[in-house]
Amino acid sequence: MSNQQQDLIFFQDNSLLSEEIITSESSVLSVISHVQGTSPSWLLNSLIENGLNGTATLINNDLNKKRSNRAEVFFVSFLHSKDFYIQNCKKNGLDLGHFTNFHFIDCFTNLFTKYIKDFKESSRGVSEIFGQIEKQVEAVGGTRKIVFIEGLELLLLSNAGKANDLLSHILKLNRKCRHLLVVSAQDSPQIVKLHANTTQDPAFEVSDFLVKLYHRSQLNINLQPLATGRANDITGSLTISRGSVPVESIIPGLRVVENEYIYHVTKDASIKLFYR
Amino acid sequence: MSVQNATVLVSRLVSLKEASPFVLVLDSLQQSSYYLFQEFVHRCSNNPIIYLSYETTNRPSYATAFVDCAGLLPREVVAAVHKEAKSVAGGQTKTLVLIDSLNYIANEELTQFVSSLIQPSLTVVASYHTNSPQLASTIANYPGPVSLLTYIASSIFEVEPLTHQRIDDELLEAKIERLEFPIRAGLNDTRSKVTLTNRRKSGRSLIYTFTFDASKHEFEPFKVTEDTIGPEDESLLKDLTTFNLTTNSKQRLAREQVELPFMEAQEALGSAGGAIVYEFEKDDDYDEEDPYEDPF
Repeated sequence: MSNQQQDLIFFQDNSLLSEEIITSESSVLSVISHVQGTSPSWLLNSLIENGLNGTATLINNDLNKKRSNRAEVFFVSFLHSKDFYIQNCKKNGLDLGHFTNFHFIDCFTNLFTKYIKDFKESSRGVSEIFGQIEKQVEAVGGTRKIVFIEGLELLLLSNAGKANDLLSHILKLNRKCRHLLVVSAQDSPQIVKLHANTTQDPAFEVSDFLVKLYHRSQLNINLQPLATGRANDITGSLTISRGSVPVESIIPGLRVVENEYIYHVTKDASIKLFYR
Repeated sequence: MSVQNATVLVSRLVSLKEASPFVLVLDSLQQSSYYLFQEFVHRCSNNPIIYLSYETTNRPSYATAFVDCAGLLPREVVAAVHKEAKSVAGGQTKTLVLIDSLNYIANEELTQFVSSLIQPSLTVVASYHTNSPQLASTIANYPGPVSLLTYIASSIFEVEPLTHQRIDDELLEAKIERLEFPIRAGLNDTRSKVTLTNRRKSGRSLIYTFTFDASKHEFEPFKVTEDTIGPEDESLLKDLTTFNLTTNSKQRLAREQVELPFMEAQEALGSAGGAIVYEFEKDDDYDEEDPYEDPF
């Protein structure tokens, strides 16, 4: 283990949300996966910051050049409300309320009171939700769009949506933006069980969804606790790996830098990253 | 068939010169079918290509026609393909139909979908992700999708990563089960191991294994490297000490011919079958009354 603190990068141009992707005409998909105990909220805050103004103060010192209105950032959440992210991003020195290029789409507050009241007609509710999301993404002008979507597993676990339907919606949404980042939990065997073979098993739909999602992704970011158990000075390990479809086939010249880091989120919310 | 013929066969298959109406590509999260698809595209640059997309976001530049299948019923997809095939086919050339994964079609509809898609002028190349969980069929004893597809396919390519020496197979398997992707293990690399099963008209299957290098567009017969044979590599023992730790071929042969004592013991007791036979020896203390005997 190296003692020197490292900057987090995803691509070989030393970037997180690469400029080459945002300016391209193609669409890229990334998957951010985590388990209970390694919440990616610190990473999401930094990625939101990177999308909004190009910096990532807590995780990459080299990305220090501020660019106002770098991209339109949409955050779709099935797990949290807008306040959660406004509060969290303050640690990064961001006041999301003041950014005109930040758009929060709250699918959490009214999910089971407005959209999916009747589970017999849940697929219509899910289509309605995605219709709204697509509409809001389209309503903003320009092509430099980054979309984060978190907590889709909630729809699958609550039996409100089918994996193939969600994947079809995801495909449409991905085509409307340059970079789509799907954030999902993948605790095994509670959520992911590749040998599940019945729809009675709640893990079946989520496993099906995630496997198919990984088959179309270009970048996979995985947050895991240490296999050796809890440690005082390490929160977990973060693995950056290439997806099934190489990013260079979509954006020529761009390449995922595969790396494994160990990270520590301290009490004062600073992040320390080291190569593993 | 010789090694050379195997390479010729695979080259003819990927360039659509060999008659094979339905080519199935079985891939996994460890190694996707992307590079093999690209090889088909590379070698069929003169053929029209219809791309059926269930999961591809960006329309590939090489696709003559692109059908977005997400949300379409299988029969609608078939109708769209036949319509496109009529419009793109020029002269006598074969049209390549690429399907990015048959996982999106229900098991009960799979065979009908594939068989209605196939036409003499089309070669269908379809991938199937083997890691996807399979729903047990409601019809008793109905075969799974992989069994069905491998049964009807005329050629099957199975792609695997070249992970030997890099990561332990069991560890990799355990990680993939939890959807974790270890790095520097050769996953989704340009170099992969491809197992080809080709069915001849007689029904006979020919199976070959290749190392496929997508960057060089090369298929080479797969060679089992020495390290994968086993850990008993005597070259590691050389020059360790002044003693000779290695054996020559004569010594090795002699060692292999030594009859091990337990083999001999088994022969002597062979007549007793699996029973435990107690043989008295002169120092044994024999007691008339058996303390474990049932008193009743």
